Amino acid sequence: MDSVTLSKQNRLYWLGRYAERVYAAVQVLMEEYDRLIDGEGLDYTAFCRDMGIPCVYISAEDFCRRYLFDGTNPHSIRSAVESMLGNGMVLRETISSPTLAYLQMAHGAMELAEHSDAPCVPLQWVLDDIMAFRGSFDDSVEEERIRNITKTGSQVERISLMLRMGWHRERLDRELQKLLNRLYKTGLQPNPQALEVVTACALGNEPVSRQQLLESVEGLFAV
Amino acid sequence: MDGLVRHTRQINQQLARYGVKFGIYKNGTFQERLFPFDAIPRVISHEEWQVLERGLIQRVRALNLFLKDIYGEKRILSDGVIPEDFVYRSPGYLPQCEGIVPVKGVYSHISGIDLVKGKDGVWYILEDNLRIPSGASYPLIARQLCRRCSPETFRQNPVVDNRGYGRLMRRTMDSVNTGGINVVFTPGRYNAAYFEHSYLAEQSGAVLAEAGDLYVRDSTVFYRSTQGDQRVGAIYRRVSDEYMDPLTFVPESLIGIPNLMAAYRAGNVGILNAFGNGVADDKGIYYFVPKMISYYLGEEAILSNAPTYLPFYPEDQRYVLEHLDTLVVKDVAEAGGYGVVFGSGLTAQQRQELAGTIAAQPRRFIAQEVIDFQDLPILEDGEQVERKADLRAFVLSSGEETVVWPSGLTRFSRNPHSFVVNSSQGGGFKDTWILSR
Amino acid sequence: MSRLLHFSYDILLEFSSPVGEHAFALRCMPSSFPGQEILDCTLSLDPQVPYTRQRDGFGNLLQIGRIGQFHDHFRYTLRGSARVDIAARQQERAMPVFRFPSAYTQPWPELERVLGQLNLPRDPRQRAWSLARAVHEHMAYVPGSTGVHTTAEQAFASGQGVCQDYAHIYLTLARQTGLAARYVNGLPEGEGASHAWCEVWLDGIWTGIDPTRCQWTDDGYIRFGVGRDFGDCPIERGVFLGLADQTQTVFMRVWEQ
Repeated sequence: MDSVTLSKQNRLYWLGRYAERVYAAVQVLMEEYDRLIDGEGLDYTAFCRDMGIPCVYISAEDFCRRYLFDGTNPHSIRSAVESMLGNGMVLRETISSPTLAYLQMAHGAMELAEHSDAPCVPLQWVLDDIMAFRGSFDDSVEEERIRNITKTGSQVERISLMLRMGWHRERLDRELQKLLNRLYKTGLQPNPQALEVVTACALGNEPVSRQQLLESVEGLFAV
Repeated sequence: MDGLVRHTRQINQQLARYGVKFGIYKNGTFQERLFPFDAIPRVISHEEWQVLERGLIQRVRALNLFLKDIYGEKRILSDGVIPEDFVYRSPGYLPQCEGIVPVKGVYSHISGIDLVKGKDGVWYILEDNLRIPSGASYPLIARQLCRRCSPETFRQNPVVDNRGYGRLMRRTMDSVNTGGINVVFTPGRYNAAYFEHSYLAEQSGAVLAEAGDLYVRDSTVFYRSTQGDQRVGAIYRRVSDEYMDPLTFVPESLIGIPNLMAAYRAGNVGILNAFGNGVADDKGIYYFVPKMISYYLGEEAILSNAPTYLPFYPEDQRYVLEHLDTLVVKDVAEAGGYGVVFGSGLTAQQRQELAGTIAAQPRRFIAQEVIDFQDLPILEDGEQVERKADLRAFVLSSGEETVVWPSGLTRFSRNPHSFVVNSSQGGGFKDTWILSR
Repeated sequence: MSRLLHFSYDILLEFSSPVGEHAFALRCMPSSFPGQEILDCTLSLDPQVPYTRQRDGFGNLLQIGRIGQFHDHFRYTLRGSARVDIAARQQERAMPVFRFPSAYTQPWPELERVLGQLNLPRDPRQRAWSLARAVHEHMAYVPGSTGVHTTAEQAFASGQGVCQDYAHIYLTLARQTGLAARYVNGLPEGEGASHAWCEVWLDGIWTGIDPTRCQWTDDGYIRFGVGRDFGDCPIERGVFLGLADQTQTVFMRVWEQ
């Protein structure tokens, strides 16, 4: 298939964003589970503030469980997994059944993790399945433009998380470059003002506040 | 077959991996459930299938000729073979379709014919589904997964491969395609059969589309793509007639394509299945299908209907009223009413009331002998038990040929006392094997 | 005897905010048949967009099109002239479906009793006339008392309605007594809004009868479309994208020179 509708374009983009969100957050939470063994939890209040999500948790342990598994909370990883699978399901004939199956498996592994006393083992499978999904996606989707839409979604999500979690400037610059290079191969129409800010920042031309950059990255696509 | 039974767990894991689900609305919210699969296949012998195949092709050919006749010359009515009441009072008859001849004159491209096998070994037709019959995707994907889990079973048994359904569907769509892409049209993600819609789109190489993805300009249907509009040549639609075009049918429909009817009328798009097919799969019309076969084809019906009586005819009415305690009575009027009533389950007073209603409104009902189904074995907690089951056979008609998919959807009831095999009622499904020798 | 009539019909739909993707299907052009000869007829649309002509399953002329651009109004204007001569009507076949109830004309339980009390004549023509008088007597013409979804049963129960309701009740009664009857809309001589009436199939001829005015139709009626009921032949139907309120202004005129 060589063309998609606007609505599918939208789903492809969000498929990429949610896959990245799940992948990154599961990694953070696996580390967190490890830290909890020694009793020192992460400052989850600060985490929630940085992520811009309401802090409804009462302890580091409670945070770990519910941020991961509470499907009734739209900000939880569980909800992100649902959205990832939901976007995949409506793209079956574009991404192929075998590719979609990896999302289904990640979803299944998430359910196993919820009911396991050693959740990090099935959580590792979630990561495996997302990596397999990416490989299968690359292999099954012939059109480069379509692949790039989903990859752009992942890139935007990654940068957004970096900005929120305060990761290295150096890596951030690299990711911004990648995003800009890919953008032109998608056919997506970025918001001009947002693009200007992102471009200026990538070129290192003028100082941009983290907040302004975050808003611009989030606002690149009004899809 | 033991191989399959031994590998039940793996097969179910595979089905979960591929998200073989159907949706239901429970307490107002949409939920998706795995469609329970039973590993013991229904096996149909080579000889038996040959008869079924011929009978199904014959039946669907006659039904297609009937539809062409009803929306055209109506000879079968003027010749007195079918009383016109059964056509014009049917909610499935759509006068909006009068005078429209679909591409190549085919009305029912993908038909789902429901059958049961009686204890007497005879197959009976239960009903015809000529609108949007669903279910082919489940045995299609299940076969693939069963072969993966138990290759030995398929090495040892001469089972006809059923995995060509996507190609068959593609051929059927291509045959009525007027130039342009093939589209599978779905009401959307929250439809009970969304898995099927997306899977069949993938398998047949069609584009899956929803309302808003398609529009009509100059009596031609277009798919809105980010690369510009693409002309649509054929639409396999999984939305009911009344919601397909708000400018022709239900004006409030948000899941249709405005002015689709104009493109269809102009012959600019193939619609699978055609609009107005409901007139031919109506409970009242069912009685007349064997008569249609002899009227249009000059042949005896190969497959039997369940013995059916029409109280509309005085002689039948007398029989029905005398044997109400053993018959099953069905209300032809689809909306509301009695639905399906087993006479044996009624009190004497209820039976008398029903008799009164039948006598007052005879053409509203049909009555049938209760068929003693052959039960099929299923596995329940490792035990083999017997349950009621039916078979939906899929018959595909292009302009050139009518073929039966060598498989089908076997549904069974999980409740030992129930005849209802519907998936929304908790029923499950089995693979259906056709033996090649 | 025949009459040469001129007609004009103006519809203006105004939207409170711009709408797009506007698909429409109009049945506002009369067709020629024995008894109604359309001498000339032009339809202009504003915004000006092309339209396709088709005939629907009832033989009505359809004008189908689409306005892709955003717009805040849709106006269609019809001008033409017709020679009307009901005496020239000819025998034709009736679609059998006109003998059966339809969505708006389902019979209701007390209907048989109502019909029994009317003491209807056996002669079809006299029966057709008696029914028109009965509907006219039962109903009071009250604009705004009913809507486009009101069924014959509901209008009959309330005893109030407009021409569409009179026609639906008439059709229900007529069909129940074995007559083939159909819904008609179009323009009557004079000025104001479009009108709805009925036709009954008598001696093989579709014969116009107007229950609202309690008269057989004459050479002053121009027919647009026919159907089982209102739902089959609306003069205008459209769907568009946008959350706008819609107001409609109608003006029609039929005159003899």
